[in-house]
Amino acid sequence: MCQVRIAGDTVGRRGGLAVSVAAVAAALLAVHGYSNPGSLVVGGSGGISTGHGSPSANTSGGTPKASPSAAASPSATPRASGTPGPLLSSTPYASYTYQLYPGSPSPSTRQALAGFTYTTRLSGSSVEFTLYASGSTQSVRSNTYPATDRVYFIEANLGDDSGDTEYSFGDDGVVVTDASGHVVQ
Amino acid sequence: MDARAAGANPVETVRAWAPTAARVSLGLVLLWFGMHELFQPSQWTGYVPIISQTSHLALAMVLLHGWLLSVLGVALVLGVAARLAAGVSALLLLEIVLSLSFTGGVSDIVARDLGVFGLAVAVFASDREMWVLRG
Repeated sequence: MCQVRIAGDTVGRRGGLAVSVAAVAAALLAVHGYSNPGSLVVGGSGGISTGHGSPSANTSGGTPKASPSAAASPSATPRASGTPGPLLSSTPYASYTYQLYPGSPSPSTRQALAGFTYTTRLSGSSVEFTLYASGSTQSVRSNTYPATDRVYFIEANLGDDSGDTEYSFGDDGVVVTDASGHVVQ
Repeated sequence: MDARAAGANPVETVRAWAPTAARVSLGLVLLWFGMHELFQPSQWTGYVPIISQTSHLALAMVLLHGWLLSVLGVALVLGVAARLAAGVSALLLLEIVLSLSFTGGVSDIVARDLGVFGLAVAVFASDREMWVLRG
């Protein structure tokens, strides 16, 4: 029986083989992970289907990107006349939403927003909403909506927030509903 | 003392099995985080100190970290070179605790990882092993 001693432990052929197989499998997963790093939700709508076409995700290859065009010339989002999206309250995200607009953020909303700041600017019948990553002047999302819409922040896991630091942007996002609570973006 | 020798005394039974439970628990924790880092590395780049979290280098470091955690997790669960795996795990966790402490201050996350670091040290110091893959 082939056995070696490593740091006081005896490692046999089966043990060595098992760990080697795990190492190779993990390496293959790492290669796969490099080419598919996973999508960041910030800037997108987290996969919630809407009744107004595909959401304009501002992410690419797992890298959060600012949307200069949206930030530079925020025009009101065209509201296609179609069937409304699902009620936000009927989606799996409902229990993870924190209202940003209208009104002021609640203490729990401020906690969920760790790592982000936002501004809202009313202009006539529309509101310009801009989300920033803390410490950055470049927006991660900027858009203009009808003033009657509601803007929510989604934070699926507060466990990755510590103080004002957001360690994982993958479970954060913004969703917009119309006045009746139907998801529009 | 092994489980059979512990007999019906519950305290002795716990004492006999605790090192194994600690080792397997630590291994499962590492395996879970390792797999998550390999499958969703973009969600973890925020933890990489100094380097921009949107860089490819941060992504590669997360994947390397995930690979190492996965291998260590498998070794600990199976009990293959468990002491070495626990020692390396303790060093990794110490680095994580220090890194998070310096970058974000002492927080709930730091406190939690400090506990896992203590578990790794305990497994490293343990010499009573059951449920190990021998041969």
